Order: sequence, then C-alpha cells, then structure tokens
Amino acid sequence: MKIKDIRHLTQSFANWQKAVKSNQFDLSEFSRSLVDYMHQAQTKTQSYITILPPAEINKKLQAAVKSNKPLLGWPFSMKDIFITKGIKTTASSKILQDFVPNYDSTIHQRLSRLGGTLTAKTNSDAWGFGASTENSDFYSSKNPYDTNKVPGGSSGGSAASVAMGLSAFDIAEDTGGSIRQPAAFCGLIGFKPTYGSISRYGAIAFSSSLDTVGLIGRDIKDIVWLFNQVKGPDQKDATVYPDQKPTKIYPASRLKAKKIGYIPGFLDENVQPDIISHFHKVKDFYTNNFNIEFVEINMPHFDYGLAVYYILAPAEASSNLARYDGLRYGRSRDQFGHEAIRRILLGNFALASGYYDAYYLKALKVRRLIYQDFIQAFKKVDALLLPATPTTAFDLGEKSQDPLQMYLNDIFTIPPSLAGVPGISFPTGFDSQGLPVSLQLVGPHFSEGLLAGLILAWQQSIKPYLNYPNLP
Amino acid sequence: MTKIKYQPVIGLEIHVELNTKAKMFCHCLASHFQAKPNQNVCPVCLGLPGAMPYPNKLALYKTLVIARLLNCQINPASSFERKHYFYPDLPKGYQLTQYIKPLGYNGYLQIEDIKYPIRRVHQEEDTAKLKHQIVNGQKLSLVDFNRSGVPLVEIVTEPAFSSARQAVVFLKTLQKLLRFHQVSDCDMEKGSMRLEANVSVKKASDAKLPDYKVELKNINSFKFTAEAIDYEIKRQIKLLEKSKAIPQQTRGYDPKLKRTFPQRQKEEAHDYKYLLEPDIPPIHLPKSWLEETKNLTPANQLLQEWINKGWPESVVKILFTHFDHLSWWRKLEEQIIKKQIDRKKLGHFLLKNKSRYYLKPASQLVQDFLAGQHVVDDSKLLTQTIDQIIKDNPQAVEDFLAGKQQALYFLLGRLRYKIGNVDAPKVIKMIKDRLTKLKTSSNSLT
Amino acid sequence: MIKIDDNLLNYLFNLARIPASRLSLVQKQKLKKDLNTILGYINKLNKLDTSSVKPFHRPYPLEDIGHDDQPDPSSQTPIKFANQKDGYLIVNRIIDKDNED
Repeated sequence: MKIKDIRHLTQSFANWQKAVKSNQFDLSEFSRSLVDYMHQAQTKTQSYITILPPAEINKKLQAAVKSNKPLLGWPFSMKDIFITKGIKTTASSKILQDFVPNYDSTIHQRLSRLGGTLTAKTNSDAWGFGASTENSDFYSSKNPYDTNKVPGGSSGGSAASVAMGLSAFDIAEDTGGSIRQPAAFCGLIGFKPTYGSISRYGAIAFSSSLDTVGLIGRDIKDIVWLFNQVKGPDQKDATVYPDQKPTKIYPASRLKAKKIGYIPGFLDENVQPDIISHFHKVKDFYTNNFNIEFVEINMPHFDYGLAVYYILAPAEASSNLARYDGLRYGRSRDQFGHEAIRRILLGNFALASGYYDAYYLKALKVRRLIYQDFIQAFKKVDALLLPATPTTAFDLGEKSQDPLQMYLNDIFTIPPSLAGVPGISFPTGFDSQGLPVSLQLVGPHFSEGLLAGLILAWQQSIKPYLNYPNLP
Repeated sequence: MTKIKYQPVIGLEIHVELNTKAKMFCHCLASHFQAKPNQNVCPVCLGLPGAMPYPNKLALYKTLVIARLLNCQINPASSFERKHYFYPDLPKGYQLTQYIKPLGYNGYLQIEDIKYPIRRVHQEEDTAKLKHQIVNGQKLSLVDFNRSGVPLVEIVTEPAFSSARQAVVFLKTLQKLLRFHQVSDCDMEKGSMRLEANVSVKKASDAKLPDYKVELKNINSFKFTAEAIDYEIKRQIKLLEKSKAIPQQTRGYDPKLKRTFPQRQKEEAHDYKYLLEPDIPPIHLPKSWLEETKNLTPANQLLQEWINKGWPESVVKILFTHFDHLSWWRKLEEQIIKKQIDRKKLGHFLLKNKSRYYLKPASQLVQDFLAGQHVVDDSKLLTQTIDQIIKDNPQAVEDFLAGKQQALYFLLGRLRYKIGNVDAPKVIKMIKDRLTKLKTSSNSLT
Repeated sequence: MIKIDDNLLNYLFNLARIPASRLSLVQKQKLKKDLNTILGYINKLNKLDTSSVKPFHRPYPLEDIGHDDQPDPSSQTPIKFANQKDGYLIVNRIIDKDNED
C-alpha cells in the first residue's frame, strides 16, 4: 500500500470507518504495509522501542472489524511508559529492558476493549525525563520533518509516529510538557487534559501529582471522542475524578469562549519570532471570525513555575523510582542513565531532612501561588492563548550538555501542569526553516470542551492535519 | 553506703494486624498464615511499575475503633506518608504509613486505677516476610510477599510502665480488648500481634526521663517479654551501678539462655524522607463512623455496664471469657429487650449450658431458653398426662406405693419429657394425690 | 544558598542507593556542576514571601476514595521470580534494617 493511502486511513476516524465499512482496502495488506513503513521510519527516525509483528496486528484488526467494535481496529501506538500486558514495556530505560508485564494498564485495556489495535511502543526520554528524547537509554529519536532536529520530549517517538501517519494517535503522558512540546515540534495536537481525568494505573510513574495521561493526534474531534471513551474512574487509581461529564465540543458557530487571555510579557525576545507572528495570526483569526475579545492577563508567579517544577518533579520521581532495586524484576540501580541520576539525586536532596523545608515545602507553597494565578485569570477570561514552546525543534545535541537549557524548553507548559489545568498544543503552520509551529490553549479545570471548540474552529480553517513530513 | 534506688522506664510499641478480608491498598486476600508463598500478591503489593494504591476504608474504620477504645483524640482526616528506605521486604522502596497525622493520639488505657498514656495509634501497611537461610554456605534471605500490604495498626505508649508485670498486664488487656471488638486476632504466634519494648532505667530521685533507651525486639510471647524486660532492667542497673554508660541499641532475647543480647547496631539515624502520598486523597472519617464508635468502651467498662443492666456479676465475668465477641452480646441484648427476657434467669441458664452455646448464634440461645421457660399449666392436659405416665410406668408406681418418694421424681421426669416444663412442686403434688387416690381405690384398677 | 560539595554528593548517592562508582570522576564533577547550576536557578523562589501560604497538594478537592474491604482473588497475580526457591524470592542477606531478625 502507498504511504499516502496509509496516511489517509490514519488521518481521521471518519476516513478509516468509511474505508473499512466499504471494504476499500485489504486489512492484512494494510497491516503488512504499516509495519514495513514503521521499520523504514525506524531506520531514519528511531521512533520505536517495539514494533509489533504484522500477524499480531492483523489478527487484532480483523477481530475488531468482525465484531464491529467502536474503533474498528484503528491503529494506535503508546509511549513505552505504559504497561501493556504480554508486550515488553521499558520506559525507554535499561533497567526495564527485559520487562514483559503480566498485567495491564487501564488505558491499554480500555482501548483494546474499544477495538483499537496497538501497533507499537514508542521511544521517549527514559522515565519521561527530558524534552528531546535524547535521554532515552537506547537511542535518540529524530524529528521526521528534519532528522537533524529533535522531535521533542519526553514523548518524541509518539509525536514522530503520528506525524509520519503511522499511528492514528498515540497515548502518552505529560508531566511538565511531555505531550504538548513534542506535538508542537512535530505539527500535531498535543492533548493534556485536566489532572485526574484518565486513570494512571499502569502508567510508569514519574511525578505523581503532575503526571497526566493524554493523547497526540491530528483531529481534535477524534481526540475528544477517544478522551470520552477512556476517561473516568477504574477503582485502581484513587486520583481519578469520579464525576466527569462527557466532554462536548462546541462547534465553531457556537463557541463557548468569549474572552481569551494572553500574557504580553511572553511575546518577547525569549520566544522565536515565527512563534510570535503565528500568535498574532491566531489572535486575529479568533478576533475577526468569532468576535472573541483578547484580554491582557497578569500572572505574576508564572515565571517561577520552572523552579517549582524542578524541585517537586525530581522529588516525586526519586520516590517513584525507589522500587527499581533489581530484586523482583529489572536491572540493578547502577543502570540508571545520567539524567535519571541527576533527577534522583536532586529529588533526594529536596526531600532530605535539613533541606525539606527550604526546598520541597517552599516549592509546594509557590505552587499554590501559581495555581491561584490561574484561578484568578479564569475569573476574567475563558481561556489563555500561550506559546507552547519558546522555539521550534532544535538541533540534536544542541542542549543535551546543559540540563538547565533543556529544562527551559518547558517554560510555557509547566505552569498549567502545576495548576492541574488542561492544556492543548495545536499546530499553526511552519517556520522559515519548514519546522512546525504550535501554540497552546489553556483553560480552567474540565474545560476541554471549550478549548477543543476553539481548536476545531482553527482546524477547520487551516487544516493542519493534512501536513506530513517527507518521511518515512 | 545507701544504695541508689533505680526505677525502670518502659514504653511499648505494638503492631497489630487487622482482620480485614483484603489488604490495605489492593484487593488481595489479607490472610497469609500458612499460605503458599507469593500467591496473594498483585502489582500493587509487589511494587511493580505503574501500580497504584487504592485504600481499604474498612481498615481505617477498624483503626478508628482501636483509637476510640484507647480513648484517643481523633484526627478526622486521614492521609498517608511515604517512609523511604531500601530493604528486600519493602517492594516500593517506601512504606505507606501515617507519620504526620496519626489517626489517634493522646489517649490512654485504664487498668484498675492506673491510666496508661498512649501516644499514638496509626495505620500503616505491613512489609513482606523474610526468612533467613544458609544455602551452600551463602547467607540468603527468602522473601514472601503474601504479607506485603496487609493493614497494620501501630500503637505507641508513653514510657509509663515501671515494671515488666505492668507491661504484660497492659498487653494482655489490650489483646483481649482488640479481640473482643473483633478488629484483630492479636495472635502472637501467628504474628498478628508484635511487640517491642523500650527499656531504660533512671534514678528514682531523677524527675527527668533517661536520655537513652534500649529496644527489645523479636520477642513473640508475653512470658518472654516479661523475662526479657526483667533481665534488661537488671542488666542496666548493674551497668549504672558501675557508673558505666548504657549504649542505645537494639537487643533480642534468648529464652534458653534467659538473657538479652545485642543485635546489629545502626550507625546513624536513617533519613526516611517522608513525603505526603500524592496518590491517595485524604479520607475524611464519616460522621456515622465517629458517632458509632463514640460509645465503644473497653471490656471492663462493658462488663460494668452489663452488670448495671441487671446481669448477675458472677455470671457475666465468666460468660465474657467464653463468649468473647461484642457483636454476639449486642444481638443477645437486642433479643432480651425485644422479648422482655429476665436477664438473671437467662444468665444462669447460659452459665449452666455454656458449652452448648459456644459458637452458636445468640438467637438460638434465646429460643431454647424461652422454650425451657414455658410452663405447661393446663390442668386437663396435666391430669391426662399423669394418668398416662402412671399407666406406662407400673414399676415406679409400685415403688412409690411401697414408700419410695424418689419414684415421684422419676414420674415427674417422664411427664416433663412428654409435655415439657411444668411447675414441679405443683405437679409432684398432683401425681402424689393421684397415686394416693389410686391406692385407696386400688381394687378398681384391677 | 546551599552548594552541593563532594561530601553531600556522596551522601546523596548513598541515600538514593545508587553506587557512586557508576560515574567516573569527570562525570561526577559535571554532575556536581549541573546540580549546583540548577539549585542556583531554583534559588529565585526565595524572592517570594510564602510565610502565609499553605502548601498545594491537589488541584481540586478529591476525598474518600477507596474500597470497602472487597477482596478480589481474580486480581491477584501469583508470581514466579527468576531467582526463586520453593516459591520464595531469593536475595542476598542484607543487614541494613532496624527490624533485622
């Protein structure tokens, strides 16, 4: 099968459903071709940890179609931090390089029951620690738009696979930007819902009070539909909000948002000029077409987000990684990579008695101040339009030697994570180098429907879901 | 030279396994005694990647019961901390416990006229079980995770005991109390009750507490606990008399040699890096729980309450040791009130037949008692039955007529067997009269 | 402001149960430098007065989640370890805990 045909099928569920129902293509040929392309993509972009065999994929696909399951076998991938029963799960770490779980994550279970077909486990920064996927213990992934550039992180492989059209969507996790930033670098929608929407049972924990399961995809309609299917309590994750209502996207003609806030201070020399011009483009689009008012917002503690994050996240990570002692499963602790060691030691420092009050407790207090900034902002506006990243995709190796420089990538994605509010990065076009540009919409808790409505309006006008790189 | 008088200062730390069906943070079976190793396990209690805790609320309820029984002040919202350290029996690399806000604190247990202060009562999870073996000359440990995640309650007393005897009386009372209220088996042999005694000695003239303590661990019976504490007190006094310092250490007890011995010493205090568990939202103890448990009283107070209600004291004291589950007594009380039963009579009935009703429901006891209390008083029926009895038992009649009074009781017994309980003196008289009548008209019988 | 020196670094390795020998001397020096750079950046938090601020734990109230003592044997995953004897997991005897038998 030609790549453009594969892409047509993974581009939207409507395409897939129509083609499957009218027998427009051969399922087993699809499975074989898809796997072939994934292997091709692997040589060029190293996006995958595991590519499932075509026979296995085909079997699942055929079964889902035959029993008319809701997803009809639509093929998807998952970041390798998600436990998949019977399928190797490594968190892109040497420690779990041989780990094959005999239990399942809730998200994988739910998607399987819906009739989705898992085709691959995608590469990431090990344990989710990073913004470029260069911290994978196995290999760095490359941006399919330019293989000299990073795909972003930590879910770099996820974004790359969807960008190339080889996954209809990818299930990933966002702690401080790990979905939104790679989606932005690869021209896709990075959907990070409200903290506590989707069960984290079976998602290898990085920072428990920040980790949010989400999706990377092309079409906001499909993403929201999937979100509605997989969210909600499961009696295993006690942090899932029990009373979630189905998310409704309001069509462009009836947009719920009337006022969008922005922070002028973010449109300065620290942000790539292309991104700033795209910001204005989008602002004009909403103002002119939907009569939405843009309001200047002041969030005085926003800039402290990074500092808070780099105390809290490593602290929780050092705790969550304490179980990897090599006794019951996995390799021993001397197999941790450099970034993991950095974060584990930093985390131990922040929690150690003598430093706890000055660092960890202090960070928790400033976190509340940031949270309050968002609450105050949302009293004045319905959503915030922010950059997703300060730059478009950077070069491989450019920031890998300077951890702090790498951390600064997440400066716009971290504060919403700290407040637990939903953030969606969405593609707005390309920069002068031909690299994808994205912005980020952030809303109050459980406002995914409102944000999705705004993105749908944009999507219908610009059609960014039609963009693909030249690879595989 | 006047000998300095020394006073022991003893505190206790007790771990009690709750008798819930499921573990504390997962749905595995909690019972593990003599189960095959590593069967009642799941990703949560094995600390597998991606597993998350899901709390057992009944365990918190039982902890609340214990806290109330020990007259504690209650923290109305329960949360957990991660206590970090590395050890093979701790699969997550941390233990979930209540460090900052124990469920109960500042309580006491009153025994006779002494109130023994309780510092804290809190919930935590148990670790896996370790067995040490030497295999091919190598020192190994065998780990069984069946016990990992079982709910434990830790009870810490103030160092208010001044003798081994006091400590053991406390422990026995506590054991009875927790068993009575059905929160734990408190079985030292099965490990559902574990003890640690902190022992130090001070000069009787000193108001301050000593600045050291010796921890006695891994003692699994009350008897050995008493022996160990006694030995330890003597050992410490000997050292103090020689003006030697007593190192803070952990010691075990050898019951054969009858002495304590040092176990491996820790060089420095471990930094547990306590972290509020982000995956468990706070659990507010429901008002209904707080109300229900407000009226819990320790067994000795309960005993008094029952006596006040009208149960005979001697009876209750004995019966409490046989029927040692509170819910059974509650059901019995319900029936007594409903059917307006005389407690004194019931008490004596039960005392006489206690082995018959052991492990039987209270309703059965009441049923039988009432059946026994019912007295047949129908004169016509009585007369008829007496005639029948006389007819059926000619030998007894002959014996009576020959002057053997006992035969009357034999006939009474036969009658009772036939129609149930009767007013014995009245019926005896009736039989006697009937037989005497028959004697005078004996000719009419033949 | 705290600076991490070699002593503190070794203490942290110990606390984290990661052998310090995992890194070469050069790598350890870089690690120290990186950590101190990060701590230097984090120091900006001290500009904020948080004396009357309560620590943040949860974005919205979530309470009383749990189960009512429902055992579910079907959720159990009896495990056979790679390093096992008679069903027990074998580990080297480690003498490091308070409750050592």
